[in-house]
Amino acid sequence: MSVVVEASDAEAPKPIASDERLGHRGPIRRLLISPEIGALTGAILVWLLFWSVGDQFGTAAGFGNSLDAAAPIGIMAVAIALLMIGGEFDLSSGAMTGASAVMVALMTTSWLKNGSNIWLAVTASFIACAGIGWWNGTMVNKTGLPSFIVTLGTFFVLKGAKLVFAKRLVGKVLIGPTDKAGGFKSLANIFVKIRKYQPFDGRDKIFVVAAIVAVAVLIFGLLEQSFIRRRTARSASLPIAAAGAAAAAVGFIMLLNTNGVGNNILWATVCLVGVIALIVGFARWRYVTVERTPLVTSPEVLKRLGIGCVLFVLGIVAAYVISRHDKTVILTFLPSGLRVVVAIAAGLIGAALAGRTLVRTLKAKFVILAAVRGSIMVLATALVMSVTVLAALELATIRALRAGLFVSLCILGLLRLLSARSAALKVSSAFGLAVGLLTSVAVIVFALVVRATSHVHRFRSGLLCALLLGAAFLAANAFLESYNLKRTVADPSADTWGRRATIGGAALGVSAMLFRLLYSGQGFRTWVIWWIIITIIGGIVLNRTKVGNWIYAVGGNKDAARAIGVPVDRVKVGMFVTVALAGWFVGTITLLQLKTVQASQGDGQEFVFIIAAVVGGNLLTGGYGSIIGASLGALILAMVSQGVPLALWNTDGQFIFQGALLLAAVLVNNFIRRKAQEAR
Amino acid sequence: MSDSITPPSTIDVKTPHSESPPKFALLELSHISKYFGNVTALEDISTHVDAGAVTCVLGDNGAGKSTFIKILSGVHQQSTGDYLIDGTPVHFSSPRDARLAGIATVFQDLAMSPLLSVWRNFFMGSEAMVGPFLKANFMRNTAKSEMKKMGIDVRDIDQPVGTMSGGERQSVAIARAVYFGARVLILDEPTAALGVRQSGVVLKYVRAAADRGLGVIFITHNPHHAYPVGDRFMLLNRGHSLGDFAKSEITRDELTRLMAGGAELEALQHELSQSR
Repeated sequence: MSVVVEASDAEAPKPIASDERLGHRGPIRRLLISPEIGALTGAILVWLLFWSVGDQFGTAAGFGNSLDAAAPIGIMAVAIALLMIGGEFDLSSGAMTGASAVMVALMTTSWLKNGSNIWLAVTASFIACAGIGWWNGTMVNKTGLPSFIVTLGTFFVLKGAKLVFAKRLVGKVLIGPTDKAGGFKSLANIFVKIRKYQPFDGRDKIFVVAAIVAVAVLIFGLLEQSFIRRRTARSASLPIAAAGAAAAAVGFIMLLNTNGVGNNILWATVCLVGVIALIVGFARWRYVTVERTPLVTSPEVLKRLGIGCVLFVLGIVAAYVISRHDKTVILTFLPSGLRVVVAIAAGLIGAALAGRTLVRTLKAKFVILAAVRGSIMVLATALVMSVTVLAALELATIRALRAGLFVSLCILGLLRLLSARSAALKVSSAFGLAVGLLTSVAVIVFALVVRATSHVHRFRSGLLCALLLGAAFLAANAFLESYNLKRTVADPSADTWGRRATIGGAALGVSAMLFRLLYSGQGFRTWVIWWIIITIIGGIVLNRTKVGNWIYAVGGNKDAARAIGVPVDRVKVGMFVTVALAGWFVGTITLLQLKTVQASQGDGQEFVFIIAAVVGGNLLTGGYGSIIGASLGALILAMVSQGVPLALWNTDGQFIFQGALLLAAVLVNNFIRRKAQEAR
Repeated sequence: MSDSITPPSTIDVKTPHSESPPKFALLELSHISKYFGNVTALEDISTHVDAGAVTCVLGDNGAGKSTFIKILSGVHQQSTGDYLIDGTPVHFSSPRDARLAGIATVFQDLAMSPLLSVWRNFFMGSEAMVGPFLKANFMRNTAKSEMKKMGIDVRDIDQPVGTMSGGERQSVAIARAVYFGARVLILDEPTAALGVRQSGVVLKYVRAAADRGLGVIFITHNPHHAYPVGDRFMLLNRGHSLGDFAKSEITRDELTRLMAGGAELEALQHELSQSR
């Protein structure tokens, strides 16, 4: 490690990032201004939403289904994202996926009837699609028309051509089946076969070990980026770390080897406390510590603390006072039409109030924490809102009211406590620690109340685990922030290694989870793997190659790019061809899955791809965006389409969901991008 | 029709403007004219720039500055006259040809892609590669140190160019041109959209580029910006040259007076004082 550090020092006389004017951006802050952040948070929130309302959604099978549904959208979204970053638009991409499928289906069923081979048809449609993409790009270049117009034209031509050729060649709009064609099986194996690996005995051990290593590396990376390294290590803190490690190990082993709720909670607590001690001891050993200050309080912070506690206690009281079995519908005294009006009005007012507060806070001073807190606030309001809307739908029973009150009051109380904590840290470190620990105690209480009063299994176990982990995180953070000095300037070597550790840890964690999913006995289609590969390739091409730089350049300022020698026209044609070929790919694999295809296949899908790309943080005007974001956007849309039916909601409601998501994503992304640029 | 307007005399003139045969000017324009159909955009323009010197081209709106730049940077070709580099006539059929010959043009508003980081802008179109991949760290370090050589200390090489001030953006473009081996730097109104302080900053970089051995052609309409940095001044008015002066041949006041249309401005001043 040290060798590399020296080498980088020798290479540049003055290390590049160590500009004293450049404020240090911590790992969390850096994550928060990346273009993917909107999509990442969105994916987590949507998952949580459907996890809490649908029975099968949170299972491995449910997630596998979401991935299956996401893959075709995601592959297109990656290509569309490249095109959008390059400043163009393709409305024919949806029809293109259909055209590719229809071409292959027509060729295998009609023209090449005897001994026809699907590989031949797929190759022919590859060439045709590339040609259409080339046409789109060339037309945009030569005519100078907006790509919106050019590709809209292509869209309608394709839409008509599909119908005309289908009717003329096979006499109907349903073409197929195609699975009798030669080579169908081999092709289907490569792209759409359902991969199912049998669970084997050691898989959980591998998963657990990988997960622990991943978390440890991740935490190390975050610490390294957040705190100042000591010159000489402080060995007095090592026993704390060692004791913590021992306790964590004992707790974990006992947790695995004992049964029963009481035992589980006991050993989980021992394990978590051990982990906290390990982290805190390690941090005191390796990083600069703060001088202790006496416990000083401030009335302002105490006020926040009081409000937080009151809200929190009120929430818990509501949980116990209101019956959790009463299914009586509230608001039955109002006629149903009026109920809808009242519900919607209440929801809108709530959202407007919360949104206004958020905007006002952020306008005064943009603090990331405040932004996050404010967003959660809006979310809590949305929860109240959904309860009222449910009331309109006669689903709001007394027990729903109880859940709504309980959750939103507790969340609001916790937010108050969190804000009190960050304010208290500024007053004195001991006070910060006290309020921080109080917050994590509140989270534990919340978790236990949920466990005690909920009759839904996944709330009792899953939520308990998540909340306990959250409490442990808060406690560890409280210790760290009150004992150790946060870094305010950049430190190139620590940042480099910290960043590598963070990314490595996160990657290992995600791989461990995918591995667990792969061997869960649930199947998924091979195209998920293709999607992941294409996303990675897309990301590398965009950020690590010359062509990617050109795409950014063309989208950012076409004339500047041309003036500086970027082959703008070639880049554009290349992007349109890429989108068309992605359409070819998705069309082909859709056909392989469905075996028969409608002539109208894919029409209208282009908007789904565009929504996925936009939700993923890609700018409609070009020059800025993210490939991983686009894939996450596709995952969100797929989760919505899978989650809505599983939650037993009206299936058509997913379009409302998607539309709202698009608007919210654009607003959030624009806001974050602007702030990210100002914040530098 | 355009042929009838062409003055036949200019075709015959082949001798360079500056009479020093052994040592040629870095870039020289000799009796350049440009016609678009029957419109005369430039008529009999001559000037030159030496290595390490700044030649200022001054002109008001519509004086023919844009056409002048476009001829220099290879977008247009002159109708008559000679374009010489190191004393040899050249013919550029595209901006690319001009760039390859070492003539870099920095346009006022289309130099940068605002959302891209400084280093990506710096290397745009000439990326450093290892195999198929970008040498990102090399480019970051190089961009930073090259900017430093110009006296520009960039805080964060990863910041989007759009977050920089107009003057800084111009200077990124200048540093980029210098790094990529430009011998002649053509600056199109680099100070036009800038405030007083920012203009000063850019003028400093213009001088710095010249001091590093480049020939700089600085196009502006502001004599107060041109005079401090220029070694040579060529004034354009309605497509015609009002003269090509070395710094020793002209004072700032004369320059300002010529630039403003001399007597016209005095008349205007008189008129304004009357009406007040």
